[in-house]
Amino acid sequence: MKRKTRRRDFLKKTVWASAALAGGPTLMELIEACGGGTANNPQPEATVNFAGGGEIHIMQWTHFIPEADTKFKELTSRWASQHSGWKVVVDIVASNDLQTKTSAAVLANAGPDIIQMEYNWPWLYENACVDVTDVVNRVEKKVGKFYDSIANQAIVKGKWLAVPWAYTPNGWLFRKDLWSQVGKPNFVDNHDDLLKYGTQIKQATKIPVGEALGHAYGDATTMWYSTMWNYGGQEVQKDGKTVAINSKETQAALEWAVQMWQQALDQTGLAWDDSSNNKAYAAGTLSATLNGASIYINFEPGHSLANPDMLSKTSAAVPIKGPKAQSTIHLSFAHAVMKWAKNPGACKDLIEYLMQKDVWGEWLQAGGGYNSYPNGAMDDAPVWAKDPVIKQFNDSVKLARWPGWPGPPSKNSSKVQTSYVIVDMFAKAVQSPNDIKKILSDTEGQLNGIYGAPA
Amino acid sequence: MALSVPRSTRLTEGLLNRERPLGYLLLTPALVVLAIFLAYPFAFGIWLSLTDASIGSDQYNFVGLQQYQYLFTKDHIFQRTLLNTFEYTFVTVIFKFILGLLMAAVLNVVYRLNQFVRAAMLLPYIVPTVLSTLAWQWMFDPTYSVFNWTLALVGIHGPNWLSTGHWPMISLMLVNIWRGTPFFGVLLLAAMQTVPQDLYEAAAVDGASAFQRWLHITVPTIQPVILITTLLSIILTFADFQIIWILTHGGPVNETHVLATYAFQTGIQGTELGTGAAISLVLFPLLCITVAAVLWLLRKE
Repeated sequence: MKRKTRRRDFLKKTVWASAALAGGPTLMELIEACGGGTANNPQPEATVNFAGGGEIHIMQWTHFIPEADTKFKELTSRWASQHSGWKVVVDIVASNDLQTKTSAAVLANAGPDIIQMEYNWPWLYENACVDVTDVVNRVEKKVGKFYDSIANQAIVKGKWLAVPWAYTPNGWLFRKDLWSQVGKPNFVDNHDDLLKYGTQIKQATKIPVGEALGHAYGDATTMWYSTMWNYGGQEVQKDGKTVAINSKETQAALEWAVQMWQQALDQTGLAWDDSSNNKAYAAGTLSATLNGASIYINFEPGHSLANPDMLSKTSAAVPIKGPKAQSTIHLSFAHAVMKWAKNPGACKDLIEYLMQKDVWGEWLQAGGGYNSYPNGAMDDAPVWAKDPVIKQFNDSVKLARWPGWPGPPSKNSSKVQTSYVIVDMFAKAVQSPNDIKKILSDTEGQLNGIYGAPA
Repeated sequence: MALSVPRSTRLTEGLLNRERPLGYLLLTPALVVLAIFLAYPFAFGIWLSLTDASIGSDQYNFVGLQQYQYLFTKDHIFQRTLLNTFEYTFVTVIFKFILGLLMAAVLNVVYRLNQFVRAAMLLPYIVPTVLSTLAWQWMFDPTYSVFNWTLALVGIHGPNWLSTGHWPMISLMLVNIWRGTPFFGVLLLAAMQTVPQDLYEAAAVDGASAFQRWLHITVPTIQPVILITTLLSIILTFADFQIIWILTHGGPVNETHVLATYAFQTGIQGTELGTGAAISLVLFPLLCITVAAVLWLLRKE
């Protein structure tokens, strides 16, 4: 007698069939088989053909100066109006989400046509970015070579995978009224004095220096990478492979950080993100902080936090020096054309348009001088001459290094940065000051795990 | 002469009239959806965890259980994360159960504005998690914490809620308990309302106090619901992501990571897909054991 199929048997068979499906073609492979382009099998790169119109999506972060985003949209619309039937959509995402959305787009082989990459990200997403060497060559012919600190992050294995767009230079914003009380009306220029006078101000007024020690992609990276370098520490040697973090120099940097934490810093910094020091400074609870110019610009009339009193009390200074160096790392942006873009040629044309000095200058002006051009081509812009405080930020551009310095930028150095290995090393040191040697050893182990992988 | 019915109509009618084929037919769309959106991603996740796949890289290799070996033997952050997940889940579930039970007991009594109070107590659970957590983030803010401002008015220096010592984990648990208590409250209230009143009357006649009636009638009667609710809460809390990610991002220094947030940080931000998949799959056997244990207890009942 034939055995009847029971409901449970049917379900079991269906489950196994589904599992078998997992070993079969993926959804993306099916799409490719049907003729759709993906990052693995991109459509052939088109020459610049605007006929028929189209739409370009650019994804970028939320600018700390809202007027800059408004101007950027205006500029992209202006480009679109010059090409019949074209439209540019600017997708502005929360800063903390930009990398997540970029990863999601790369995984899905679909998404924005142009993505604003930060730091070394072209290394992380190299297989998803179009070669834009031709664009860079044309731009550099007009404006000069881009600075190494931003160029290195966009050149991957000899190819430009993104066009440098801008620095967000950092400098020390400080309360002139407080620092004058300790005899430093123009701030300090080295780590020892920052510790000494920052401590005096905190003891006298209970107002600390503030800096992020949490997973803040901009501020924490800027502060603690530069501290490490200024004391002579480095994560790898020049070969970009040999881990060199466990050294007397790095230890000295950690010891300075511990003293700063215990005596002069705001101890809520472990929980800070990139907006926290902005809020704290605007609330009058910080004597100084290392940041972009957004804090200062937003105090100006017509801006969201317009505050004439705080504006008059605030000044800026270039990043400070340590025993071995005066360095910094600026949040840097570059525009990458993605391999799934329907019209890469049009995307390149848009990026090249935006890099023109007069166009870029409008964006610079709208942002109040918050950003700097990827080289010195805009050093004579009126916005720097107008306010010496803002000029400090542009002056600090040349101090910039890149994640993984002195090694060349790589996927590994990018992983170290996006995993906050160096920042966490400093955070652990301030939490456990008696375990610095163990912390160095653990960090060395972590870095060996990352740099052991092929770059 | 009898009308001849088309064969296709006879087949269709036969299909619709027979329970078994109709049952399977109606089940098929749901199974297809489950297969595409649950079974396939799950199986693909298992595959990824056995490779060294990373975002942005076309090539990856099969590495067997190396990812798991690395996590359990070398990744100290993962080891801490695993402990955090257990601590976070079990502490919050215990508190949510106790407070939910009390909430249900109070709401089970009929009084004026009873309906309004029930609706109001559900609010933490109804408000989207992200929104409510953002509000909590503001309340814990290092500069603008309303708690610390209030404490300062009475001369107390409030803690660094999200950055120092045990406070970050305590803050996360607080928010989770606040949000999850109504879940227990509502389900246990519904269970309490199905307890036959004559049981209480009989017990009262026999001289049982209110507490004895609650302990020996209410609790045993609603025990199956307690088990199911607890099981669901454990599963949901084990997999919690939003509260931790918004409040602390797993910090400070990776100290408040749970498996979901660490998997996200490793797989998406760190681009290590294989490792991220392995971290998230560690949850699966743990949850299977938990589910099996609770279902066994239920069957016993």
